[in-house]
Order: sequence, then C-alpha cells, then structure tokens
Amino acid sequence: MESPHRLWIMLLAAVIAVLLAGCVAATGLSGRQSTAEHTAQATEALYGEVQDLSYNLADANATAATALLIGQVTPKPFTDRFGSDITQVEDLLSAASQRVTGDATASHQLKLLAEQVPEYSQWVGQALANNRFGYPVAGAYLRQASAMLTGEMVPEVDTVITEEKNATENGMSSASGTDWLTVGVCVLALAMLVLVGSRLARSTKRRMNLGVAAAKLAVLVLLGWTFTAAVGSSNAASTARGDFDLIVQTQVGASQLATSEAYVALQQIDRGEDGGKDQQRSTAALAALGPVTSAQFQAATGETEASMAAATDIKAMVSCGEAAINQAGAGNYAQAIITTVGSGSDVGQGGCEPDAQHVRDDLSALTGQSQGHYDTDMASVSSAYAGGGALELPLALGLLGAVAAAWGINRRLAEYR
Amino acid sequence: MRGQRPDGRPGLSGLIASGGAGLGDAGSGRARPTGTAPRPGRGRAVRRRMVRRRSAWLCALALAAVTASACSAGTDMVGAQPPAPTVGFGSVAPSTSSTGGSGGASTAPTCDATASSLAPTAAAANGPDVTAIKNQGYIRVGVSADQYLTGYLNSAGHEEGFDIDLADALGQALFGTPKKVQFVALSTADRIPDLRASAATRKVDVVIDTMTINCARLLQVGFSAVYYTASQKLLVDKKPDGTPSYTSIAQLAGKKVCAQSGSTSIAAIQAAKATAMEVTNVTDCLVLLQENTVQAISTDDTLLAGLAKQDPNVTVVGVGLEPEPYGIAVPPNEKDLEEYINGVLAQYESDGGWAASYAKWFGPSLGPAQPPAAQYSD
Repeated sequence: MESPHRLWIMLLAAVIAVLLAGCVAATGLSGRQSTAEHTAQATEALYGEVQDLSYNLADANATAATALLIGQVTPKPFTDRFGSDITQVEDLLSAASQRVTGDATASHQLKLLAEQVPEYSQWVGQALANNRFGYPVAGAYLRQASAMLTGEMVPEVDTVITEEKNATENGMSSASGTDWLTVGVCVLALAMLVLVGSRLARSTKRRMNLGVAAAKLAVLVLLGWTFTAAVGSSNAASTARGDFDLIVQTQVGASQLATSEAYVALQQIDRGEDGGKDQQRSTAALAALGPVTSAQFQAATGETEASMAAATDIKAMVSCGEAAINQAGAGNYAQAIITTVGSGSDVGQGGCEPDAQHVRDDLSALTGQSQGHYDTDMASVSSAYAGGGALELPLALGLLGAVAAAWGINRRLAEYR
Repeated sequence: MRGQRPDGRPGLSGLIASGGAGLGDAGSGRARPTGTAPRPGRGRAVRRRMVRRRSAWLCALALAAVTASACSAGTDMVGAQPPAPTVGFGSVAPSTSSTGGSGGASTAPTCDATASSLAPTAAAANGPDVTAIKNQGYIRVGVSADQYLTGYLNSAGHEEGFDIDLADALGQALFGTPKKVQFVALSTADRIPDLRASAATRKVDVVIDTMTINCARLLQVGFSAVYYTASQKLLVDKKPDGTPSYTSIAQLAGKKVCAQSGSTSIAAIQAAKATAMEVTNVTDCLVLLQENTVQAISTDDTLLAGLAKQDPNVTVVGVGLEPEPYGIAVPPNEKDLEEYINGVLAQYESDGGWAASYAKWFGPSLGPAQPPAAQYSD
C-alpha cells in the first residue's frame, strides 16, 4: 500500500515528466520549424541576393567590356544595361546590408563593396568617355575597373556568398532530421509514467489509472509527432537541398557567363599584352558553365524543357566564345571582334550576343523554377512541424497530459481523505 | 629635302615592287651619321676604294633601273618610279663586329646595332625568300594591335599607325597594293619566337612593331636598317599656362614615375632618385598620371606621343636618354628578304612616304624629324 506521501511524489514526478516532454517537444519542433522558415525566408533569400549582386557586378563588367568592342559610341541598350546592373547592385547591397545586421564579417564586406561601387562606376565612365574619342586609354581604364571588380569586389561578395551558402545548408540540416533530445525526454517521461502506472496498479489493485493512461497517450503522441515530423521534414529538406544546389549552379552559371563575356572582350582589348591571362580566364569561365550542361544537372531538373534548352544554348555560347578566344589568340582581333559582337548594322546584337542572351534567359528561368520548388519544399519542411502551431500544440498536449496524470493520481489520493 | 635625288634620276623602288632586275638609287650613297666611328681595321684609302667600286656597280644598277622602270611605266604603283633618296645604300657600315644582319649565330654579342643589316642588292627581289612571299600572294606582317599611333586596331577594326604605313609600303612594293598585307597582332613576347619558328609554322613573314634592334636580338633574328630612332623621354602634365610641370628627369627626384615593367626606363628613373611604378601596359601609366598617382611617364617617345595624343593636358619633354633604333625584324638567315626590305625602306624614306607618315602620327607631339640615315654591315 502506497502512502499519500509517495502518491504525492508520483503525482509530481508524472506531471513534471509530461510537462517536460511537452516543453522539450514544443521547443524542438518550433525551433526546427522556425529554422526552416528563417532558412527559406532570410538566409537563402540573402544568399540569393548576394548571388544576384555578384551576377550584376559581373554583368556590368561584361557590358562595359563588350561596349568597348562595338565602337566609339556605346549603343543605348548597353548603357541602359550597365546602368540597370549598377542600380540593381546598389539596391541589392542596401537590402543585403539590412539582412546581415549582426554578422560582423558580412557587414564589413558589404560595407567595403558599397564604397567601391561608385569608384568602379567612375572608372567605367572614364573608359566609355575615352572610348568615344577612340583613345586606347579607354582599355586601360576598363582594365583598372575590371581588376578592381575581379580582384577586390567579387572576392568580397564571394565571402558573403560562401557564408550564406553554408548557413543555408546548415539551416536545412538543422531544420530536418530526428530531434533526439525530444525523443529521449519523451521516452524518459513515458518510462516514468509506466513506473507510476505500475506502482498505482499494484497498490490499488486496479489494472489501469485513466489519468496516467491519458498522460502516456499524450507523451506517445509527442513522440510519434517528433518522428513523423523528422521523416516528413527530412524528405522535404532533401528535395529542397537538391533545389538549392540547382539554384547555386544556375546562379553561379549566370555569373560565370558574364565573367567569360568580360574576359573574352578584355582579351580583345588587351590584345596579347596581358601575357595570355585573359585567354586563360575566359577559357576557364566558359568551362565553368559545363556543370549546367551536365547529365547530373539534367537528371536533377528532371530533363525539363528549360534545362534541355539551357544545355543546348550553353553549348552554342561556349562554341562561339571559344571561336572568338582562338581568333584573338591567333592575333586575328578584327575577326574576333566580329565573332563576339557582330558587324555592320548587326553590331552589338550579333556575334555571340544572341547565344549569351539565350543562356541568360535559360538560367534565369531555371533559377526561378528552382527557387519556386525550393520555397515549396521548405514550406513542406515547416508544415511537417505543424507550421505555426509547432510551439502551442506540443505545449498544450504536454499540459493536457500533465493535468490528466494529476487528475488520475489525485483520485487515488482522494481515497485517503 | 630628303626623298629627291640630286640628279633627278628615278630610283628603283618600282623595280623592287615589280620584281625587276635591280635595286636602284643605291649609287647616291648614304651619308654616315655624324659621330659614328669608322670601321676598325680599315683605312681611309681602303674605304675610298670600296666606295668607288660600289658606286660603279650601283651606277650600272641605276641604269638598269631606268630601263626597267621605263618598261613598266603606266602600270600602277608596281611599276611607278618614285623619286630617289638623297642618301645612298652604299655607305660603309661602321660595324664593330657584326658579320651580317640576318640573324646568324655568328653575330657577336657586342655589335653596332644601327649598322647590322645587309645593303640592298639587285638580286634580292628574286631571292628565294622574297619569291616565296610573292608566290604566297600576300605578306604576313606581325604588328602590335594596342600601340596608339604606331600600330593599333582602330574602332573600325582596321590597323593603323606609323608601323602600319610602313607595312603598307612593303605590300605596295611587293604586290603593287597594300591590300596584300595581312596583319597579325603579336604580343611582344611572341615576336622573336614566331620569327624563329619553321617556315611552315610561323604566323608572320616579318615583324614591324617598334622593335628595337639590339645585339641580343641580332643573335636570334635579322633586322632591316633603322627606320626610326626613338628615345626615352618623359610625359608630364602641363601647367595651367601650358608649360610642362617638369622638364627633366632630374626634377622628378622623390616623385613617382611610371614605366613598363622590365623596360630600360626603370634604371633611369632609379638613377634620378625617383620612385618607379611599373605596369604591364604603358597605357595604364596614362591612367595613373591622370589620377595623379604618378607625376610622369618614362618610355620611348613614340609611345609617349601616343599617350599625349589621348590627353591634351600632357606633353612630351626631356632630352632623349637612350637611343632605341627600330628595325623591321625578319626570320634568321633570310638575307634576300632583309636586303629587299632595306631597298623598300630606302625608297619609302626617299619618296616622302616616311615623312608624311611621321608628320601624320608623331609630328604634333614630337616635332619635325628626318628619317635615320641608313647604315649597312657590308
């Protein structure tokens, strides 16, 4: 026969165990749900912004370099595109700077970048102004601007990109998988309730205490929920991870495309006096587009029409770029310029430009498509934890279980009063 | 005036162009530049005998030239008979040790770079290397594509500049039209290796690219006679009153001066106790000057003229520090081509082509100049 004192201890132990299980489950589930939301809406969004920033910088450089090949007067579409790129860079910098508040490294890099953008624009402006007079010093200004962009600005953005990419991947890992702490606490709580139940059964000669049984059910639900959420979130996060990889590849591909365009043009502007560096860099940048045409990429995108088109267009672009690189490498700069930007009334719209525009459109479409899938998958990760109810529901369940356990044991205590 | 033969007789460049029998106007004899030393080991009498022998030979050639040019009259530039130069081909070269300008390995490390090339001969126009180029139907000329005023690709995609004019004159002489010149842009580092490659693999037949003749290069390739003597000068900002902010390198002590990496300007800058800022491409120096990062640029006056043309607020100053004789580079041991080019060069200098080209490209920045007096090794 249990004394009232022991029954009080059992009551307290059962209530605390169930409440603890509820609290830990609520914290774990809501924490993961919150991580999933933050990863999708903040970290990955910031990653996308800094990738766009990188792309717009590279595209601005490519536009300026290509404009110098076209002739002394820069066509309006090129000045518009350059202006749009710089405006985008400024907007993205502003947005990204607000998001990285609290991240000292990223804030510092973006601050440096913000200081360099006007200087870069000024040098490109000097290049275009000198180009109007047909002065070769235009190429020197562009070299300065390009060296600053590739040597300082892009590495600064890359630091933030790497940081946010890792943060996004870590976020996806943290938001999915089994919450072993919750499992452990729930199992302990269940063990405690089983022990309390068996003691009560022995002392009261009753097989079951309804309150303790209800508390066990509540803990079992919490445990089941934890496992179910883990499986659901893992599956959704795995798909999201694949989508994120595609976003990375297409965004990096877009930046590489712009980088290759800039180096192809710079090779023709420097005309061999750079020791072949531009040729090596343009070839490497074109080669970096390869993964987007790979079988893995096709398989990952499910060989969609967009990805097949991208692969075809990239091959055409790489072929055109390589032709221009080889012509310039052989000293045939006049032909290389025609190959790159076209000639006559077609200049600026011919050459490799249509292929490059197709690739830009393809990659933009693929990025948008992958981003849509990613957002959906991350929403699934979040909903696997009951979405917005990930905190309240487990707490309520834990509270109900605790009340049930207290009610059940209190009924035994009442027999002593 | 240069370019006019005193006796009024026509020169032989028309024959050069048409592959005629002689390389005329050689008889008038080129004056040795002031200050050059006579060839060691040969006396004045010996030299007089040589000049007499050469004059007789060249007179015969000149006669043949007149006949040939009369035969070719009425054809385009191929057969046209341009005026002869006032200086002749036959002056004795004050070479110290060179055995010829065709780039053979026998050229000693010490040499007279300005008198290392072979004098034009009548046979050169029909020599194997010249004939090979003629049979090819065009001449491939290695040029720079980024040196403003000397050789660069303009915004229309065409090569132009002082060196390009000379290449056109070579094309005119060989084929009767400059359109048969195929320009191949070569980087500075590729010029000699390409000329030394086998005939089947080389990309160019000659290089005209502000290429300084020096003894080290003469060991590797052949050179024409000097077609321009550049010198190291300075490019500085103008003051508001239009006068230069500095007039000599001595005034730049403690200041920053830009120069191309590896150029001889670096030593001159350091000797003046100035700080040298090295760049790969000389146009980058202009950016540094315009940004006030450096106070002057030091390099060849031809390159400085190119920079000055791009900025009205700078000017070329300074006494030429070190002469840089430019020559047309040819593959090693192609002696007939070297001789032929020297004939074309003499004609180009004598018919006013050189002067017109100089006035067009360098006149405004560097002031008036005369073509260098040709000197040969034989």
